[in-house]
Amino acid sequence: MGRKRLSPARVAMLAVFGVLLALALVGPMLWGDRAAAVDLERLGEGASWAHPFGTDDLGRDMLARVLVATRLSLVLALLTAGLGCGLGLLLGLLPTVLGPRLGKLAGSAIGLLLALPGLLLALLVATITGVGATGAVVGLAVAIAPAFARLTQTLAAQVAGSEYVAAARMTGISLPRLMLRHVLPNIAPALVLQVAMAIGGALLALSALSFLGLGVQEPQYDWGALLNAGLDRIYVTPAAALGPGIAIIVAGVAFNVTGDALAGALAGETIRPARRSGRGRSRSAAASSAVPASGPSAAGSDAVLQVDGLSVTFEGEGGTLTPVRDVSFSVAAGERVGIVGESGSGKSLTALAIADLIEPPGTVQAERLALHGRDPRELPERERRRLLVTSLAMVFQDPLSSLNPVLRIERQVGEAAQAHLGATRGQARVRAVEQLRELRIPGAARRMRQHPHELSGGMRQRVTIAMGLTTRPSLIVADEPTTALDVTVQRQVLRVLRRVNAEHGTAVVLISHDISVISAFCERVLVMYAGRVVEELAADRMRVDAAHPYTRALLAATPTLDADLDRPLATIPGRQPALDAVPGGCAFAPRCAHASDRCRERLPLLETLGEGRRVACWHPQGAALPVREQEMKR
Amino acid sequence: MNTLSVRDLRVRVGDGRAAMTAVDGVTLDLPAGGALGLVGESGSGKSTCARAIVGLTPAAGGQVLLDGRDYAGARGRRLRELRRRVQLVFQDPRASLNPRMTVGEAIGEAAAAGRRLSRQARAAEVARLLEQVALDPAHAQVRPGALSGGQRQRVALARALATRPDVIVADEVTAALDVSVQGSVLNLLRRLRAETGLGLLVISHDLAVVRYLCTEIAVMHLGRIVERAPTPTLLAAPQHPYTRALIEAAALAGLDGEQVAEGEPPDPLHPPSGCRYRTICPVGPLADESRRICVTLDPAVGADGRRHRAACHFVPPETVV
Amino acid sequence: MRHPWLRFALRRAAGFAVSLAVLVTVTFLITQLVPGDPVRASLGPTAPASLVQERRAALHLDEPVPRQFLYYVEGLLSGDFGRSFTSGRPVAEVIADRFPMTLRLALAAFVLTLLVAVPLGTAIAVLTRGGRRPGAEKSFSLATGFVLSVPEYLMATALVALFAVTLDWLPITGSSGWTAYVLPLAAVSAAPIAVLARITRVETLKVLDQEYMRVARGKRLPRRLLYVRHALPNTLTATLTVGGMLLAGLVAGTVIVENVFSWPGLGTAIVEAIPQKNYPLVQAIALLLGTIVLLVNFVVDMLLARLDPRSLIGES
Repeated sequence: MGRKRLSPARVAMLAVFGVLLALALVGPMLWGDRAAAVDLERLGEGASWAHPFGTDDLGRDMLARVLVATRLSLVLALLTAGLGCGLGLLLGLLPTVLGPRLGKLAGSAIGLLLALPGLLLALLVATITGVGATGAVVGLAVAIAPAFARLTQTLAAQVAGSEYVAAARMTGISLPRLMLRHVLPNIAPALVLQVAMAIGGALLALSALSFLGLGVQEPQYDWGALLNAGLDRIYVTPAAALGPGIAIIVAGVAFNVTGDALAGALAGETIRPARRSGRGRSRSAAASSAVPASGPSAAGSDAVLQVDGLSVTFEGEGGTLTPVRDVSFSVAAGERVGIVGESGSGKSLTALAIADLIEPPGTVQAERLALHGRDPRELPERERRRLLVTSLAMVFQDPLSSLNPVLRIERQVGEAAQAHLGATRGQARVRAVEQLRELRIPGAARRMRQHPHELSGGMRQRVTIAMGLTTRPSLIVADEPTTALDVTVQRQVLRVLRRVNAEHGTAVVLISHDISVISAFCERVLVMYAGRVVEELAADRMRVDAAHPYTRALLAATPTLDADLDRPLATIPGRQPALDAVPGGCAFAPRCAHASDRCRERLPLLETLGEGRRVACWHPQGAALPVREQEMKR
Repeated sequence: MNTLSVRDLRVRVGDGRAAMTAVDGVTLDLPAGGALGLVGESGSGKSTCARAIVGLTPAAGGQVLLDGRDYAGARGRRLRELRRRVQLVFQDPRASLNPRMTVGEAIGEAAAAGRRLSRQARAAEVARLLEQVALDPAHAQVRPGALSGGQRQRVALARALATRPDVIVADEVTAALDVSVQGSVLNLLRRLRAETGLGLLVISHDLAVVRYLCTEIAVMHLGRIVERAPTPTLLAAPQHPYTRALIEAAALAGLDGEQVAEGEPPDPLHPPSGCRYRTICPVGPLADESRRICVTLDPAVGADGRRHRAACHFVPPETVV
Repeated sequence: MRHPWLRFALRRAAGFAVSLAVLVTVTFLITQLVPGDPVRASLGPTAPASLVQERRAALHLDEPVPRQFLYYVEGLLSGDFGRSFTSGRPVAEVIADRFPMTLRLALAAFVLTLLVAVPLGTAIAVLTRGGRRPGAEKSFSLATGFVLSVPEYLMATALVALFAVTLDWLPITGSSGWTAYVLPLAAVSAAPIAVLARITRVETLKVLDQEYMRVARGKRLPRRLLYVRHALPNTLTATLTVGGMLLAGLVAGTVIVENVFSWPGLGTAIVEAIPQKNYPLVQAIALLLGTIVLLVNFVVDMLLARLDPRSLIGES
């Protein structure tokens, strides 16, 4: 978590910021006299060498006045922001301090204040206190306070509710220490950032009030007041408005950019949650070059899906990443095929590539990618859509986010039939109810009028399955369809998929990180690691046939209801390589107990061991014929 | 002698229309050095129960007994005493470790809480604890961000061990981990219990995990314990239909079977009368309309007194002990 | 199913009523909180005592505070906002004169903001999605960032200096047809457009990255359906959520910009009235502007509830 790199633009802005501060400190000392020097000979002059921004109506030098005004402008802004933020902090802590009942009241009070325009509040306060700097400062402070209060309230609630604070409370440390070590450090940065932004905002707002004649009054002057004086003469000497205008813009931009830089530095410090599987879009150099395709996959002519040499690449600023490399397999009609692998193995991207759902900056390369023998990439748009929609349906992990929150179920389930099968809206609706009934969704007709958030998790997932089935595809690709669900609901969903498979002969490609789910549901299993298929085998013979050390380790590491309790669970040391650091040889070699020099140097290709069995390993394990070893000896 | 006993614990969560009793009369006993699993699905109230035991969520009723003394609703010094002796380990170590503190600071802070430790003694203690969870003591210098998920969870465990607790409540401690490292945490918990006599209360949705760690299992459904038995008994002869459903689902058995009609899952905000499982129960009124007792009488009431406890009116006769 | 929506509407209406009551109270308090005698303060030390007394009586200032409040509310309900201290005209009349000018400007600015910002933000989001066209993204964020750093009145001044004074393309003051609207409108809308375009861009990117968009793509729907039916309602809800805030900003902007262009609206009126201590006028204008903002917030909430059924739940 290193310090955020500062761009040259940001450095420049920080420099401007420093200059402003310096001006505020020394400006009045250096140019105070010049700014106050009345010159009746030169009233309201335009720009000249002596007076680059002209003179005002008493002949005073505008440049000097702009420079001198820096101090008052900044000081008032600081006062306003300080007062406003202090007020907001107090107000914002009330809900936490007062307890649930009164706290709620304080919370709604903050919400109410937030709804009123800040300027209006400021003007009202200024009316009460009378026109002048004090009124403007107090008024704007009142206007700033509600937003700051809301932020404080949210942050305090967030941090107080976080698990690390709960964990710290568990250790029994004292309350002051808890606040000092755990709560404050985690909310302070955001508050500091907000204060910095508030100073910038106050500077602009104060100058606005002064500009309207409601802020700083003669004989004092800030930038707003100077601009107001200049505006009267804008027809004659535009330069008079230019000086204070530039000062305000420069200060405004400086505060804004400094705030952005601070926010950026803050964001860099906090730990970001790890990326979700397969969505890797990190940008760094990729080293690996294209590798020749492996042997042909077991493919019948009746294959629903045939994939040869499929790769997915992402172009980024730092280079090209290849999260899916040279994947080949096929799915026969009515077959259930599983793809198993850890997060980052490329299994989800493989699914998306098959469904033609990879979006830029990702690209798909494949020697062959055919649905019912036809490659959608070679078809004209209209036919391509038709082929895809009638041959393949996708089901994703999280059913709630798979459903559009604002559309009713009937719309979402029926629209594919409407768009592709030429159904009218009414027919589509009938088709949708039919489909829901077929999946044994209780109260199908009633569900149609509901929105996704009104359904339970398992019901939602069944709806998403129904959604894909309305066009009667011959293949369902389900990507972690039960990972977000409870086990009993997982069972229901798997049974629904199984029934569709049995009754309609719909082939299923099930993708999961859970090798038990895969082996229970599927007939054939593909194991993926670091973007490649490392093994393919029959599901019911997995424990016997597994030859790749990774497959075997995965099986041994998964706790099951019949595992041997006397043996410790296996663990796989190390981590799957990052996308930009996939080693040249076997990607699993660094974690593998059987790895040799050859493994680290040369990539093992996926080779056939027997009927429906392929493995990519130099040292296949277990009862399997050590084909390679023998070949090597020859 | 039980170290930790929970008697009729009740916890209410939410307010206004979303208020509900998330934990409704839970009773548990954890013998010294024992290992009890609390299994349930999302919304069963198992995590709320864990938080209430250690006083992170206020209990609405019931007792939390440590060696016979009641700590429910404890505050100040007594609450600290409870937490020193019963430590909670959270699900996601990414969330439960303060990102701004090094591993050594986090563990050292817990080790020094409530007692005086010199700088050297604290460092030595941190090193000892890290070794106990099979981590290199050099890790004391790094921040959690630099560690893998499994390592972070072991740091969280070391921090919990720092107060020298009698019991560790492990709330879904492997749920956020990759399968490749899950084993390291599970093996560690088993070893700690065997070596130090640490009591374990394991909260999990995963029967396989609980089976691996615990000698006894309690099954929770909608805020209640519906069945409790020694692990082998429970897995071999489950009596409550919900337990059976859980085991079948976890074993991934019978995916081909014909689907029976199913009811609406119960709404936790408005739990059904009588048995809370009856709306989806395969042996209840849904399957046999004559079984009105499930609607009228709460089976939890009549469940006491059986050794292998199951809160069900229709426990299959051949399995009654 | 009407039920939750009705409950939601009622609760929001109640919230609106409470806010309004607070607003009324706050504006009433102005005359109470002014140090010394507000009438004397506004008429100046030289005004005859009889005039002061007469004004005080007209304002019921000699009566107990709760009764004054009753008079105030009664007046509001019957459309009587009192008389201007300076001109003696009924405040209601002054407002009837001025309000349409402000409304025209603010409404035009609101519509312009929506028309420019939403398509702009959406287009930028679609074009720069997934790190494409980094140049376009960078210029967009620079341009909006710059506009955001320039306060409205300065923008207005700069526009005047450039287009009215230097180039002499457009009039600076006076309402001589549509040309008079160009500069004020630009000055008022510039910042809101930048804000809204930024928000729309971010929200569109978020929506396009949602799983349900991927699912919709998986249904191979035509692009039109994809964006109009699936994406737009979701971006709109997010955009609407900030709509209220945006409007508050627009009102503030209008008040300020009117003064640069001597626009005969409420903004110039209130800015004149404050130094003159013309309290009845200040009260009435503040009340009117505040009510408009609250009302729009209320309408936005209702719209949101229609668009996004989820907003009905999760309300504690």
